[in-house]
Amino acid sequence: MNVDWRNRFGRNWITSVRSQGGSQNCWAFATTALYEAMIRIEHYLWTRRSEGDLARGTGKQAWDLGNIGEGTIFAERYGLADPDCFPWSEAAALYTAVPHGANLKATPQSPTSDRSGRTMRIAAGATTSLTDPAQKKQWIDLVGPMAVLVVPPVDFGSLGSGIYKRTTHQLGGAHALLVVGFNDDERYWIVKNSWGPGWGDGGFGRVSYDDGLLEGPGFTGLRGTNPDPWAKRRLRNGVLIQGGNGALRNNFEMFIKVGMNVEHWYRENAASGTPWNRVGLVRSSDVWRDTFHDDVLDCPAAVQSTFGRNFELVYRTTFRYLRHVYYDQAGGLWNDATIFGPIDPVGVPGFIQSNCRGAPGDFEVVVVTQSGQAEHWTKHNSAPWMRPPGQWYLGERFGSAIGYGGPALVQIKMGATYSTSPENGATLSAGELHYIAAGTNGQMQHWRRWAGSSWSLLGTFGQNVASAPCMIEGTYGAGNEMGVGNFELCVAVGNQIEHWWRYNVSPGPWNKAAVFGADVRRVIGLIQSSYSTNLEVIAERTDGRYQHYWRDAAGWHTGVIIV
Amino acid sequence: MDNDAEQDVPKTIGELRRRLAELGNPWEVDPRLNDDDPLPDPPRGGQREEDVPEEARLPSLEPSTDLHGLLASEPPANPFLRERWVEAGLLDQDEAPGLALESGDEGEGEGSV
Repeated sequence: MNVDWRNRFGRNWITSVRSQGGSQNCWAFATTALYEAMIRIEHYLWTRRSEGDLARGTGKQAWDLGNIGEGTIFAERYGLADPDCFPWSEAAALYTAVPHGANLKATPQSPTSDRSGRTMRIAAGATTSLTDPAQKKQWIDLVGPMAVLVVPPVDFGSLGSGIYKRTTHQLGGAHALLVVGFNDDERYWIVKNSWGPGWGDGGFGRVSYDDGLLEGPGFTGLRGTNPDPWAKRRLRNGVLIQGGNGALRNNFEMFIKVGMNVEHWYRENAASGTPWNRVGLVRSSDVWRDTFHDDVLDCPAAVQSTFGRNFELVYRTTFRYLRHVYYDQAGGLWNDATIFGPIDPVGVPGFIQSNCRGAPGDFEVVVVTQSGQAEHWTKHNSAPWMRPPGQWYLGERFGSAIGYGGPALVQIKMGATYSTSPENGATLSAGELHYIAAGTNGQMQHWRRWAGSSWSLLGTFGQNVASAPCMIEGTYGAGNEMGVGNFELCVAVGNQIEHWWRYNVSPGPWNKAAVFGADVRRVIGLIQSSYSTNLEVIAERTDGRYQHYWRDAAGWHTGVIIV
Repeated sequence: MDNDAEQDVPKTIGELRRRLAELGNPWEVDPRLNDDDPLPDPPRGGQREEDVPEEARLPSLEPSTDLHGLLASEPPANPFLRERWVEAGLLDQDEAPGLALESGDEGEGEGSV
């Protein structure tokens, strides 16, 4: 049997190769690479985790030796954050202000204040360690890559191409690697190293069975990753969120207007028949906070934010503006944040959390006005406070003859600046904002805003569109966690849904892929889910009810009418 | 380190290349390295097994354990992997969901951007 997770089932499942630089933190790199690979395999999600968060979180500095066990214990207790929260660096970090003792009691101190909402979580005891070579291969075949701590000979650092076999019995220090495959035909293991892309074959190496280098040591694998909403933010928009609840940590959460209120629903993706269930009204159960109800004019745009994985909703209210409310996961209460925006806005707003100014990320809203323009509003969530904390402000008014605005605001990885760190390879900074709206002439308008610049019209596409589109950046087209995915867009035209997409690696035209559905007024939610990697749509019907559609290998399917 | 092991070590890349040729080992040295260069010794950082604190040691599964049985309690959500589980006999055929299309699989349409 042969397995190579770099090219399995016709695609790559392994994140980019990193370099530990001059540090002694190989164990943090191998463990982080393991979590990244398992998030990709279990959730079809590219995400980058921080080796710095794991290494410094365990209370260790760049010069400290370590092991895979303490890395997994840290991740199980405190989660594993992304580099925007706490980056990798060889510099000493405040994270170690409380050095860990025997019980690894280090408490995160210097990551961003929203760390709890931007960590991959995993249950205690999620790891499995195997020593039997046949079982290791079974696991790699049926579950995914495994991390290992080995003691390679001193010639291991010289590997270029080919299958490594020792030329000396002189051993070097212990070193952690990620085993991403094996080849029984040619008798070798495939490992991902942390010595940068210059080692081996682009940072990967093949290690012969003959020396028994990897046959003896214990391999560590894991299951049950629960990625954070920040990592999933580009894959969803509108009323639909794929949260971290449920047996597979991937239930759908949905917020829709019913009567004059917003209702919270969820779909249990691990349950037989995947039923939709009503959670309740979006309304505070605390009498002192019960300031919003029976005031909803339209479906909300929802975000699951980095603030404790809270749900944040923005909707048109009878108070004639936009209302921002949020569900405090820790307190179990809905709260009224504020009222803001233009008077009598049109449609569902585009609403995201961005990293335009770093972390914790600001909230961004683009909403259409009665005059046919779009307004871009921002709420700062971190210093420097260029506006008072908590205050939404109008940044820019742009466009004309816009008739329909919807949840089609995306911060795409395209346009992000890549910086190459000698310590840790390429890193990704903030990307462009893109917004699609339907013009009064029936064509969709594609707008873009570079970091620090103004909105500009990229072009128009489609025809006879008289409803708001919904758009995401999916994973198709992205080769790894640094890659840009395609735009996927669904919009109602003539009571059916049109599915459009655009290749973003080298942007070309918008392409209409399919037309499906019936009795559709507009599309209000879109996800590329980990549930079979399908595209999932929530549409508002012409009779006011809500219907689910999904796409798999057989094409688009009509799902249930939910309510 | 004993004397035999010390004498066993190639001192330069050139020596290593000669050793590889003598042994017929199926790999080549990084071509960017010159024959006069010493063997690169990139940082590592792993603790030797005996130095790993007790609380950080991950207990290993007994090789006699039925790994398939252990795995079967948590089937993957990944549809490709589910198909592999069907092949391996861990899932029934009707438990493997359909695979997803990717952008463009449905054919080209018109566009004006």
